[in-house]
Amino acid sequence: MMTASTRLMKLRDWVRGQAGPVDDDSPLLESRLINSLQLVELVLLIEELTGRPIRPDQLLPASFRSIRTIYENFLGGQSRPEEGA
Amino acid sequence: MSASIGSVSRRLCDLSREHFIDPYSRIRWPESVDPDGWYFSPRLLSVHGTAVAGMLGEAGMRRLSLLEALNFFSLNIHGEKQLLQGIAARLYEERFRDASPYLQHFIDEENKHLFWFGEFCRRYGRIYPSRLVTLAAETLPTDVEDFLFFARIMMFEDIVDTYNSQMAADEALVPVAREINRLHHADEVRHRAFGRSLLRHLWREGSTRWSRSTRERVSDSLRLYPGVAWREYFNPDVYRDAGLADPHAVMRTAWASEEAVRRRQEMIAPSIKFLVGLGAIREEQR
Repeated sequence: MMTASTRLMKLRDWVRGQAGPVDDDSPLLESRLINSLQLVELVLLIEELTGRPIRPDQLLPASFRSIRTIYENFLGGQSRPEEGA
Repeated sequence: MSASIGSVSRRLCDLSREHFIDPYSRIRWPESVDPDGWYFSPRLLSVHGTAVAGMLGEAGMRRLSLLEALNFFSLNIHGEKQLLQGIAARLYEERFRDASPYLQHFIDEENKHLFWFGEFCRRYGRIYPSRLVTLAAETLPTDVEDFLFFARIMMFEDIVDTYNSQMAADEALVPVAREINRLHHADEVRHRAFGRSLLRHLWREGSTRWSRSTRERVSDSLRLYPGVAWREYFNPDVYRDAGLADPHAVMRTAWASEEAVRRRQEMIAPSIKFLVGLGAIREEQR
């Protein structure tokens, strides 16, 4: 079973692979760091990391605002992701 | 010089009246479906040309064909619901005065399609949910929004019609699946002609006022859209329902396969050619 911190690490790797050097609070959609096609890929990645489908009512831009909001909404993050990654 | 949108609309209204049908009695729905029938043409299945197809064998591909038909009709449901909302919002707006008579038929015919897709999914399986995130509306001028909306419809319909037209002609398909594709294709021929005519009109009316950055935004957005529209044809839920062990790995393999890349380029080529011809997509993004 993957831990929340492993899921976070994989999420960071993926986002940085797509958008370049971003931090956990960088606004991914507002700043167009992630485009609409990458957003579909991101939804699929989150489902794969958690083994659960994302509910239709969670498919809102606010849920995917930044790495931190994704972590808190979907990946089991309770509070702030650990620093330094 | 191309025909005015008013004359195109009148001609298409006549054709729609000539081909008017009652959707509720048009299709004979079998009580149940044979799980070993073909519901989707094998060469159009998402895993066609990949190692997964070989692993499934013909019996597995037949079972997958029902699931991919359900996914195809589900994606049509999600897409057409958005299309109906957008067209209804524009109906009777003064700027669509000449096009409105045909928009009324457009809505009528899309609603018929929804009925067929919904019946098929509910009778023989389920409606697969979409994973698309509805992004907040950008603050773009109305004429830019109009153009983008109808350009996306054109691309969505071009992709769907590639499937419809091929499956309408596929005698191996179970009759109910073939008939839905045939009926859909028959209407889409008119819708696609209307879409191109309306886009020429909207482009002519609006684009000369757009700034360079607006034109670039339009071009970028349109170039990205076919990938988004087609991405969900590769659905891990379908692979899971087909009993495949690692649905996400299957999805990645199928999406990245040479066959899928080739088909995607082939399917979107007419839309891209049209939009490059208008000037809406930059030549270097072709």
